[in-house]
Amino acid sequence: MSMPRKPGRTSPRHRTAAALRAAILFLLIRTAVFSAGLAFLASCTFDLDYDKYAIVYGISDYPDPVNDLTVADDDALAMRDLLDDQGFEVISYTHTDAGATSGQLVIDMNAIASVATIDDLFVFYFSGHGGQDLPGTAGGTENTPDSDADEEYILLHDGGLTDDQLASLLRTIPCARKVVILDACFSGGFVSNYLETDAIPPEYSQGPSGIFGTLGNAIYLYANFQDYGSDIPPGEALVMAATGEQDVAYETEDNGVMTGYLLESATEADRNFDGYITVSESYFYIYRNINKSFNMLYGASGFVFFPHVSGGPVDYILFTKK
Amino acid sequence: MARKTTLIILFLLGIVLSPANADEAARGARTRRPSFGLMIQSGVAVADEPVGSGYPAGFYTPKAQAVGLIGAALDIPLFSAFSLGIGLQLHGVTASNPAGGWTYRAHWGGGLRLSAGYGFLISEPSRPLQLTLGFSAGGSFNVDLYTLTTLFFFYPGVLLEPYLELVPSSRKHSSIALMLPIEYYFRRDLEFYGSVGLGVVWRYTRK
Repeated sequence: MSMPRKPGRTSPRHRTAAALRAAILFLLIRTAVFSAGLAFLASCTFDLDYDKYAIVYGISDYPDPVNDLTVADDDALAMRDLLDDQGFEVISYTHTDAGATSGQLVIDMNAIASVATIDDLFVFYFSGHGGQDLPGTAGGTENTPDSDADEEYILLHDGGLTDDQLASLLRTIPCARKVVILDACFSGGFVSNYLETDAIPPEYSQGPSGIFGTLGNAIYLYANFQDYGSDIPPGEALVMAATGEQDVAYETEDNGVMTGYLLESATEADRNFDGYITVSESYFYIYRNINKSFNMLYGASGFVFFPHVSGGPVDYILFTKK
Repeated sequence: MARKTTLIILFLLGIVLSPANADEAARGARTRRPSFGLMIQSGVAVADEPVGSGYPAGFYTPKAQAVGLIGAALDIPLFSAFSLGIGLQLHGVTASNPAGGWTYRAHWGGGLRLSAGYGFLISEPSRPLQLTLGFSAGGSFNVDLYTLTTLFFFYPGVLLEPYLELVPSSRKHSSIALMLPIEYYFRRDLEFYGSVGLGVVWRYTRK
């Protein structure tokens, strides 16, 4: 005996409502699965079984007292302590003031190159003066898009080391993951992005690029993607620079402005709560705080600057949150 | 063997795309006016091997990234069951897992999507819920921002999107379609970057 159907159950309107309910249920289930997946990933810990090496240089006392800084050597020592706490082999590669020479840097780079492997992580940190020189200085080139023609350098105790010279030294380090952190004026000139266009210009006070300019640049760089052979490309190392190519960096009583926030980022910058702080997370913490505090405070006086970072499709874990 | 397979595929495509078949397929389908659609989809992208000087060959392995997308599109029927679509989208891609101490970066951005679609009515026209099976093929032009940075980059992509559209015969001006978008992106900085997902689009056609 067949049961009579309830009236209205097979009406077109009812079927439409059923279809809509099914679609909404489908969306809800997918959202739940997606969220569960993200939660699972966030709860995972990954075995970071590799060695970490760092070279840390900071120079406050230059041969010419006119160049002396206040806390650059303290920056280096604070950074050494942080990296040591993070498990880096760093103590014997930290040099300040008169010990931080180009010759010593070559010795340190060679020492690390002889023990490090492709799986290891390498960090080079420098706090001190940065400068600009004539194009072609020390055989360098400045072909990177968005770059001015000047040759940027960091000032070691015995002289300048250009971006191209540092890139050459980095090539001797066999690690796949290398990070260069520069708390120095004009240090954005060490960044070489072949595909990405930075919405923040090399001189921060000029204001951000317009949306159409950024869009046009991005398409231009895509169409002309190539190895420009100058500065430090993201494949060689991710560079985190305190300033743009034409900006000046500043110090506080305790640290360089960038280094102060860099030190904080090791505990404060974990944006996705996975327990790791990547270069991008650290960079975001630094630039957001420089903008919110230093640039807001001194913007009227024109003392503004903005950190810059390398592009590229990969990011590296810099710190483990403790 | 390859030639024979090609001939078979061409033969089947000829049948499927023939105007007679399209007319047959379109008979009873919803009204042939431009339609406006709102889309939401999510899926998984796979990135592999960065390209550029300094990246060591073979070190970076493929990793998955979660993808989410919302968009709006205008579908313009050309003739029978063919249509052209143009749309704007916002999408986001999460970072990959940090195994090995590195991730593929998260990014988000917007894009312009152009596509051409073709659909068959697979249910009886007299049924209260009409089902249309079809696919769209096209391309996208995207500008993204690496998350947590100020760096923008451009990349185009191609997509193939089978779909199943549900059209209530009582309300032919609106429909819901389930999609299976498969996309490949021409990233200059990656050896491979593609995604597959699931999506829902709600379409509205003026009465």
